[in-house]
Amino acid sequence: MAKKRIPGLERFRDWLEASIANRLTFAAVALTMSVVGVVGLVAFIISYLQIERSVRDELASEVEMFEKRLDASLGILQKDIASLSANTLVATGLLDSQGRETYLNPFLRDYRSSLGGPVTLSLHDFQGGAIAGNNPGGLPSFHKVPWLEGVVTQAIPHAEIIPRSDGNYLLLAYPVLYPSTGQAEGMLVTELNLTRLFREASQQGNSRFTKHLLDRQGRHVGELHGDDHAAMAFMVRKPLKLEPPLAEFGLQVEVSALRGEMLAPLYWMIVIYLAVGGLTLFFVLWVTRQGVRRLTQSLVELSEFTEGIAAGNLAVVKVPVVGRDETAKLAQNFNIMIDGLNDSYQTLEHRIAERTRELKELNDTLEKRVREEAAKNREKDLLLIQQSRLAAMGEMIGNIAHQWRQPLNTIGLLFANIKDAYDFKELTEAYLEEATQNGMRLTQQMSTTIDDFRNFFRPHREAAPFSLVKSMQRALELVEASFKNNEVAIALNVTGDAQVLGFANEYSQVLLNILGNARDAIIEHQVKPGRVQIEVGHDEVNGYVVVCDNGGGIPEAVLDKIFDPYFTTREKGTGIGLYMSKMIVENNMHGRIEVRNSENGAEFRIVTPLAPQNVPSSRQR
Amino acid sequence: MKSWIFRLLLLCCTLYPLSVLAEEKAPVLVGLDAEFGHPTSTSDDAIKRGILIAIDEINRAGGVLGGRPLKLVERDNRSVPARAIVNVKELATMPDMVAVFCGKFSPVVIELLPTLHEQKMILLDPWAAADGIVDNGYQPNYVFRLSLRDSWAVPVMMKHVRDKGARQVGLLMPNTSWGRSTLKAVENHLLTHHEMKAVGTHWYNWGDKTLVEKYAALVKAGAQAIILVANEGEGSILVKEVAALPKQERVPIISHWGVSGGDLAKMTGAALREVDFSVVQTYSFIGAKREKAHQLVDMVNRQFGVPDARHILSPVGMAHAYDLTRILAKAIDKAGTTERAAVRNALEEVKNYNGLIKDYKQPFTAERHEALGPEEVFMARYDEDGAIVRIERAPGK
Repeated sequence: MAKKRIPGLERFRDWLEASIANRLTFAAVALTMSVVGVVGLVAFIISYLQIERSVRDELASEVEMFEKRLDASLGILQKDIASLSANTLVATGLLDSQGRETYLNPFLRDYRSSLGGPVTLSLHDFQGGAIAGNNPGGLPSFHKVPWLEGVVTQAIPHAEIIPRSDGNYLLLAYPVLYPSTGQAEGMLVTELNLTRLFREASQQGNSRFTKHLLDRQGRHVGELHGDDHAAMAFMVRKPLKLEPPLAEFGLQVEVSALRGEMLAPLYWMIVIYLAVGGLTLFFVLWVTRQGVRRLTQSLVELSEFTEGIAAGNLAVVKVPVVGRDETAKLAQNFNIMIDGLNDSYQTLEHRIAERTRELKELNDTLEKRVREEAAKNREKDLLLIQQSRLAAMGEMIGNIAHQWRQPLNTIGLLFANIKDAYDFKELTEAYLEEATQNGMRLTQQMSTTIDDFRNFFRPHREAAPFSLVKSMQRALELVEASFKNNEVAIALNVTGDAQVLGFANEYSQVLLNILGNARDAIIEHQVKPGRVQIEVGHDEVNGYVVVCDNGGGIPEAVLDKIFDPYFTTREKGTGIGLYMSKMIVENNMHGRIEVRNSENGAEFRIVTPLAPQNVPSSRQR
Repeated sequence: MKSWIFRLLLLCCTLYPLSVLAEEKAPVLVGLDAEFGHPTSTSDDAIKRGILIAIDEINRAGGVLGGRPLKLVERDNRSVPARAIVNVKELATMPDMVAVFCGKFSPVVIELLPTLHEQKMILLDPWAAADGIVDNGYQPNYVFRLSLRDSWAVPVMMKHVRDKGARQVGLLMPNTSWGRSTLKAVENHLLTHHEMKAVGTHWYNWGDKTLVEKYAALVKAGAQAIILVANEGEGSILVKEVAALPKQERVPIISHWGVSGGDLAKMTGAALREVDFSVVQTYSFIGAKREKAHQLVDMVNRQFGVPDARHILSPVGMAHAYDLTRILAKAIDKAGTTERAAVRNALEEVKNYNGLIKDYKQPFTAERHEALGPEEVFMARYDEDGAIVRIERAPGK
């Protein structure tokens, strides 16, 4: 997968690679940025942790103070009411209607709780009816409230938080025990504006913090509407230590701080640090650039001189040596190297001239050699072709001879018969006519044979589809007489006809070669009865012909050499037939020819690709 | 003696069939709303006994309204006014409920006054002594008292102080309407008795656990005697605390009669004998010469197992309730109905009732709803056995 090329990155890489100064500058900038970044990050993290710890400490301190204030206020109120409810003056109020007007009501009106201010108080009988009180808005009635029974009969204090338009009120009801019976016969109820108390308490202390009074379920009871807690990053809660019944609310104070407000110093620190860091980076960039330029000046000069050297101006160039530093040493060494290089150059030039001359000479003779070798090869090829042609011709002549043997005998007999007829005065015109006709028929037959052979060996000029079966049948017709004369039987098994693309006559020449070799092997090994089995067929891709004889086979040692040119195992063999057959099948028809030894002889397999369906069939001549 | 027993038996035999007849008719109800739940109070039981004995007698004599029996319906107010109001409202809804007796607590009765008049319910007061109970300003007035008034008690108590040779008194009062009523009476008394002086008034609340500091403050201020207005609870606290003081620091305590609403002798034990303690009363069965008194002691003995007159607790409550019940029965008969307004009017018209305490020519009139008078008031003390006995005046005093 090819890497994606990013133009900007490529340009940056080019810029980096163009100069050491660029690389040094980049390294300095990268180093500075890394140091600034790491130092800044560490500093910010430490600062954040310190701020967070500081804020949490402050919150903890604030919540403690807040908790103490509320704890104290509510606890004091609770103790006040508990104490008041046990006050015999209040208890007497349950009994004495006239007395309430004279002492109880003034007492309640003038009562100042330990909180430092007036507290709403009301005394109620066992039915919740108001007896006395100092409520500015009139005395409340708790007739049939569900908790009344618990307070006035079981003497269990009750507390509840009542939401009103001006805030949440804390209602505390404490039983008043009747002095003479010791039983709860009434209750003292106080109502405290919890919201106001909360606000007064929360106004003290650190104004940056938001304070909440929550109940056990986390609901705001100190305020009508709570602030958005989500914005509060830092938060500390603490439960109030109150006695029952206030303890049942599970009241807890919460002090929280806004993240943005608390972290403002850190944000400013980051801004200032970024500004200072930017300036530092700029300064480092400038200093580095200047320093690197000074440092690489000699290198630049060296580079410029090397450009002259690169231009081949070795003799005239000398790098100026300034000072004693590494660059001066480098220039000095460079000069030495140039001198050495100059010498080497001269030597090399001399050697090259020599070599060039030698090569020129070699080149001149090489053309001549190549022409000679080519001529030799051409001659070899021509010889090979000639030999092949002669072999084919010999084969053809042999076959013609076999074909002609029968008609020649017949003609001979015909002439003999004519003579006998003449001798025995039986030579009539009719007899002669018949004999002449027979002679003419036979000579015509022989002429046809020659035509057949000539047609068979006439090469086709272009490839065309042809039938494997027909090609085999034509070949067998040519060799049939020869096989019969040598008592070699031929068995043809056609499993399917196939059209293959190529030169039909060349292919027949291959078949004749193989059939001829089979026949010769049988004859040579005097195999009786001689037998050649032929199978013609095809599969989905290729057509094939398998020729299997019982001529004793081919020695295994030479099995892989029999297709080499001029290789033969027979005394009269040329070593050309199988080589040409292989050339025809593999080069001209893109097929293959294979050989292996079977049980009693050799087996040749000729495999050629099937012809495409639309290619016209080869014209048979 | 035998003839007296014979007559009584004859009377019983005569009245028995009438009482049976009366019981068969619908009863006429009389309520009692008192401090039954008060743990140390004996006044409630005394009142109840007085009523029951009277009812028993009345029913045996044929009942009222031509044979209807009287029947007592009790309610406990635990000395709590709010409960008393609820109780009275409930009693007022009962058919043929003609009147309600109250207990000893004046503040309870005072707070009950609006409800009583709203419900037109007759209140028969056999104990509560605050003047304002009767002098309540309501017209018609549904409150009838056969008991002490604070304004009658104070002169007797002050005279007793003088008899003790003291001229400067310290006042120890409950922070209630009863206390203020008594204080007013003292102040009125001092207006006409310049030889007497109140060195100071200290108020206490019901339920206070100690009174000795107030007592000591008064003594320190020069009090030669202490006028105490208290019930048995606070009274017993003070007695025990004073008894624990050195003798030279003890001064006589002249007490209002609230202390006799409980068994003070039992509550204080030996301490009571260490203190010069006297209490104002209106009646005593001990030494009573009226035949009715003897009959009542016998009835108490029979019905409640009280051995003799010396062991009758809170005797004034029983005596007052008895006479009031008898007067009420007469009023019902006189009204001829159980309608409370008619009975109330009839109460003002009952005449010539020879009662336990005295013979009443006309117990109540339209202008006077007090059946007793200052002449019935006397000072008493607790005897060795706890009995409240009249303090006989020294000759010439």
